[in-house]
Amino acid sequence: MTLNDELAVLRSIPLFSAIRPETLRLLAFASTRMIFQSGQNLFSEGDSSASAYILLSGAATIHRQIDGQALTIDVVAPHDIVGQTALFCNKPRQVTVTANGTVEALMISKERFQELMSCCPNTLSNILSELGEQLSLAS
Amino acid sequence: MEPSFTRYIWTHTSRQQIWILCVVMVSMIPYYLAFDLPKMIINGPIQGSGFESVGDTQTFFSSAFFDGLQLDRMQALMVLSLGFLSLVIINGIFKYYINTYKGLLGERLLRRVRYELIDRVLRFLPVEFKRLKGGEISSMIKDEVEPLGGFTSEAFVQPVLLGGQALTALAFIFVQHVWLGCVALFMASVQMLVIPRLRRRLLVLGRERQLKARQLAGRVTEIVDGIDTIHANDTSNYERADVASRLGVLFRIRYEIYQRKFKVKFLNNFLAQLTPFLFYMIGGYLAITGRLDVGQLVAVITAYKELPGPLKELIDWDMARQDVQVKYEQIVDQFDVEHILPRDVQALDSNGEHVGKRLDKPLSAVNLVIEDEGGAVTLDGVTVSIEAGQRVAVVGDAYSGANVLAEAFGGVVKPTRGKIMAGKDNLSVLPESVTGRRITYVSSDTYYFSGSLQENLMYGLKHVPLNEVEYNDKGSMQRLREQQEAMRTGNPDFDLNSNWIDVELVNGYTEAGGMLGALKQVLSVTRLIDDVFDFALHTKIEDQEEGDLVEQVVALRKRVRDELESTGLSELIIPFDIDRYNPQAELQDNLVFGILVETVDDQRSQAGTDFLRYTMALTGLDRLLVDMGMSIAESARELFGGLEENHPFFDRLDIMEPADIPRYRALYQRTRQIEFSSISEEDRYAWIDLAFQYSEPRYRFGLLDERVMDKVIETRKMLLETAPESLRTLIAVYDPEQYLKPANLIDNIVFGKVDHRFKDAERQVRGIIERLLSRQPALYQRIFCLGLSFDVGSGGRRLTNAQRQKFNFARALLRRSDYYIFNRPIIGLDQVQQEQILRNTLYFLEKTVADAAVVWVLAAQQNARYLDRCITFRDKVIVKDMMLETFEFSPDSLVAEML
Repeated sequence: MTLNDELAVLRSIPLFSAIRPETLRLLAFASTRMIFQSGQNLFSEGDSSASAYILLSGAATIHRQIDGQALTIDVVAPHDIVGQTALFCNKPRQVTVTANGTVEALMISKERFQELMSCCPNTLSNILSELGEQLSLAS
Repeated sequence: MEPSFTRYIWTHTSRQQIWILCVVMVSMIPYYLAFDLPKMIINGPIQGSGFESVGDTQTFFSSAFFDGLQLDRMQALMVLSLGFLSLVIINGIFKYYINTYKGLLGERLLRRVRYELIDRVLRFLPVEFKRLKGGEISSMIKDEVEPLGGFTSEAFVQPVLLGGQALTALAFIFVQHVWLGCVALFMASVQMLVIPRLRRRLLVLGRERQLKARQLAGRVTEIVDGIDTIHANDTSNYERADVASRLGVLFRIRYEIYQRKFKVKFLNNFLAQLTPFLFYMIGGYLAITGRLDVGQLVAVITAYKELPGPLKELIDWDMARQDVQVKYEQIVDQFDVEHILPRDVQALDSNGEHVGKRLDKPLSAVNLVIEDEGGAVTLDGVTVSIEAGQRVAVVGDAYSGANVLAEAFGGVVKPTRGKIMAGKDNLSVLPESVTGRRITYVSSDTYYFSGSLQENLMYGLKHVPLNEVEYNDKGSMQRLREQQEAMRTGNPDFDLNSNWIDVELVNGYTEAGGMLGALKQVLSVTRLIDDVFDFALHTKIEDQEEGDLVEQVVALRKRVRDELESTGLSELIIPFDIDRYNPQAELQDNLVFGILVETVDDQRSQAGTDFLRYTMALTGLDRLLVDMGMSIAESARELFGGLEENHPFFDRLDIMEPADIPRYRALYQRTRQIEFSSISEEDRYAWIDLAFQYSEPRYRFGLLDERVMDKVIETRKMLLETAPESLRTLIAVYDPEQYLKPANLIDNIVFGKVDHRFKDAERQVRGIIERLLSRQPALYQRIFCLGLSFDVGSGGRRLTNAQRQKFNFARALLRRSDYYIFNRPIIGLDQVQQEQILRNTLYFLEKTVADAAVVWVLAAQQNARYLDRCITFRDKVIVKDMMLETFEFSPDSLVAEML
């Protein structure tokens, strides 16, 4: 999978839809490709959060511990993004995401994301309005 | 120390000085004979006086006991000439003997002085070192004493010899004519009085030069030691200014010395020539007026020629004498400190009296007052007693006095008032062979001697040479000579090759486990096993040293591969395979397929480059790579085109420096439109060099297609097949059956590229290696030993701060003592580790040393619960002292398992 393929995936994600392609391309370049083996956690509940993951292949389960029981919340598939709140705030992870089978993902670190945003104020306002839309949909 | 250098020399070399003087006197006889003989040869056999008619003979060498030899003219010529030759040889031998003997005298004295100075440094009280600079001390011991040795041999022989020569010449002149003798004497006196006076300033300058040069040496050492601080504070230019100003001062002094030296020389020469002028004038006048015989005048002038030489040398000798005296005083001044440990405190415990000797119990401080150099009280009348086997926590902030008590127990500071007692003995009078072994003190200040980790860990065990080393015939002769020579110069004759480590004193030493077992115990207590293993994994094994270890590593490499495959993790490592492109490796690595061996032979490495280029051209890879280089530049432009040069994202593109971008832009403009064959060689290789660094997983520009990969493999194979023999040694080729010498151990075991895209890939691989090694304890042991041979670097700089403190602590635990004084030893670690190590340590000491008492100045008060008693300090006094309830705890599983 080349940078162009990654760019296509990023463009399909609503959160980034407002970002200009050339900026998004930089974001793809600055992110890290990772492979998780079956059963490995992308991240765990309570960890400090530092990055978001975009699934490129495979599937992962989002779950959290409630009264000592693991409760599955969702299953994510390719082109889904998980842990995106890490890009905006420092709250510890609220859930655990575990790979079902081998998962390939693109890791976007908060640091890189914010560096990019600080250079492109327009992009930032676009993202904020996109976030607002997502919030209004959620509410 | 002896204040006068001349007396110092006489004390230590009087017998030799007298001997050499006698030899010099005796050597004068053949020396003067050799002067006389040529005259005899010329006058006798050559000019024929005494051999007027054929058959005439003369008597030679007759004396009261010997009738002499009757020789005709030819025989006389032969005998006298051979006599002359013998005298030449005898003189040569004398000269050789005298010079080497003088050298020997000088070198012995030098050795003695140097040793004495270092011996004193070893006996200085700790407080002295707050004043002294290491660089200055080493400059004094190494450089400043050097001229002292040179002067030693001249000290007594020279003045006697030269004085004798000068007096003889003077006496001869007096015999010829009293008034002219008076003139010569007067002028010589002027010379002897005036010149040294003029040279006084030279001595002052010399002293100044010595001091300034020493200070410079001190500053240079400071710069080297403090280089991190200099970088961190951007004070390099301040240091430059300081050094430049010092060099300026030194220059001024040295130049003034030159000016004066040659001024004095000029005057000296002038005075020496003034006397003949007077002889010519006065003597001439006397001769003309008939009061002096012309023959006498000529004799006087001839005799005078013999005077200035010795006189000048005598003046030089005196100058040298004063010079070395000044130098000596300057050195003695630094080393003759008021308070110094008596010799017997450090006397070698050669009979082993102190080996098993334990300190009397308890260890107590009685009304202990300690003041710092400024006179400020740091501990104020503390009385406390530490019982055998007791484990005491000492708590208090940095100024509470808690650490000062520990320092006092450890002997780092000396009591101002009051005393420290071990039972009924005052600690200050006990020899170091007892206190230094029975009390182990360790703080967070660490020092490492350059050498291996193991040497440093065992440093605290080296008290006494324990055995006589068995040497072979040659070796024992050599050893005997060394011992005799050491005795002659007041040096000790301890054998460095002897075994200095007494295993009786090693904690955790067992017959079965040996030293390694003991080391492993203390390293697991201090949680350093992984660190040492890591050092081992990053070691490059030198050729023959390790025997079949390399073969075992190659075997391990295969087992790691099998293990990865059987556990379904084979993707974690992409192995080097001659038929495959390794995508995790850069293109260049794939092409060369091996590791470049470092070589100093520029010509050969150029030949290697040429051959690589030639082969690339043969297969046509060069054309592909030029295209690829251009595509990389295009992709980079697409990505970063609109960004400023200092944008942080440029960091990701480590293939290109931001500063290089204009260069690539120009290159691109020059080459994009033209045919490959018309691109200049320089431009071509600029693109190829760029392509060499490309790795697809890292950049994902999609530039590495099958065509390029196949071509790389084709070229690689051609390179391997056709490389001339002379170039083959430039590269250690990846061969799954061979150990790669230029690579470190872990690279040899992995033999491939770890695919970093996998989460925790490296940790997983390491886990597998450790698991496999745990099944092969013998191999694990050998690899672990490689880690112990890790070179810690100057002052331990190759270790991290935390490692330095932990290894320092481990070194202390390795030694069996009665009292362990821990003065916040591992303060650089995080809380969790400090607590773990504390637990491990207490457990370890309880299991290995009967009745060991521990005094632990704690960084974190909550850890006091692990100990038996807690003493709290505030404002330099004890404010609370209480026994604690027993608190159950367990150490790390590894430590529990080992013990």
